[in-house]
Amino acid sequence: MTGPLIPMGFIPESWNMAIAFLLGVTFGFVLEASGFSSSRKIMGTFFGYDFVVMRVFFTGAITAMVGIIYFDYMGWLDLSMLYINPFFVYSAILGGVIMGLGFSLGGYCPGTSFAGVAIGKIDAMVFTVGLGIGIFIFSELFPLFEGIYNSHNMASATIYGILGMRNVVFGFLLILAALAMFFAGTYIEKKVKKVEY
Amino acid sequence: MNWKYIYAIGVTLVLGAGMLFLPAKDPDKLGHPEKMLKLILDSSRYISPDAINGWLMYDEPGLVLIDVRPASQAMSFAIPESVHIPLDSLLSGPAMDILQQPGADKVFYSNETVLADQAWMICKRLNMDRIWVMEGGLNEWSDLLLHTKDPGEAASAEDKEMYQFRLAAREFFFSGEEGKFKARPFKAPRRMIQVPLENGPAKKEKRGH
Repeated sequence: MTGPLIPMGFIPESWNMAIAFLLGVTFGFVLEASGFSSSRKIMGTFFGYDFVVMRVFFTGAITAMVGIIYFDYMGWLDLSMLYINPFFVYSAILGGVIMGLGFSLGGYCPGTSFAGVAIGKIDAMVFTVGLGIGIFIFSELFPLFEGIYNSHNMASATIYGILGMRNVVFGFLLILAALAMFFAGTYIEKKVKKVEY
Repeated sequence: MNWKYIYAIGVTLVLGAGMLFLPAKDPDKLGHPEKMLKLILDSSRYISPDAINGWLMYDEPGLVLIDVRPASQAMSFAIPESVHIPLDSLLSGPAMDILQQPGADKVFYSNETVLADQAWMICKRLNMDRIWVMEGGLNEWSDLLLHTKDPGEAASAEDKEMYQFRLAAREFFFSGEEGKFKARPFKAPRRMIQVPLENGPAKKEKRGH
């Protein structure tokens, strides 16, 4: 049996939504359990007093990456069958800037805001209302943005593909970068005044 | 530093360094007859015509639909926005540029699936990724669109939805009325690559309608 299980036909496609629901619930639970329902904790990354967000997400990313590479080697997963989101250069940059601004102004990203709503945080509720308004405005004005939204499509480009290196080399460099950031984060946390929340 | 962190860092570094020693995939690994047979018997290379219609109608990025039939057939009718690369030109330079696009899904089609399967096999043998075959070929594609039947009131919501989708797809790809359908023209000049193998390496690419 080789994964991914749904594209390879081991699990019927009709289970897609059910599995997505279970994964969503689990993800929300882990976000809340990690303290990501607190906007102050998330803002700690921007102000330098708490880098837990960076550590958790980077740990998740490198764990998944190492797992995928070893699974591919063992023949348990066919890498070529994994869906990779298409990369639209300009919309990715613009979207990243807007998301970063919203993140730093509101203290939440979409996922963590819903984790905050789930435990009754008022600021998270306000944030999700804003999120809805933003989605509505974007949808209504989509014809205006459509050009830039679809421009410079690089399909399912990968960084290691663009750099012309093996995925394992890039993976190892990413692990080193993550560890360096973990140490840098800890160093900055010690230097910056502790914030109680 | 907490010993747990030191342990986690150590494990991560060991696993990360271990990745560097994993052998690169053998480009000739498909050469073994048993592996080739398994690939031929595996039907996961087929993509339904409905899925392809959805990609085309919603202008999904990253899809390259490739018509591998001989030019005589391809000139009379083809699925809009498909690229024409007859089987004998599959290994030409311009064709390779298309087939080796990173990240793009290349879907072959022919009247049935025989030629498309052959094209898929050649590309698989060249260790190409993200290559597929349209299930049932052009015959099934046109049959689904032109002869789609109303499933009736008693049908499931899914069947009714599929019927509506196929009607919309028919409207998208064809003009005219029942029995007098006419294919809509390509939005852009059709890419046609004809550099048969016996003529040597490819140099030029034709553009036609």
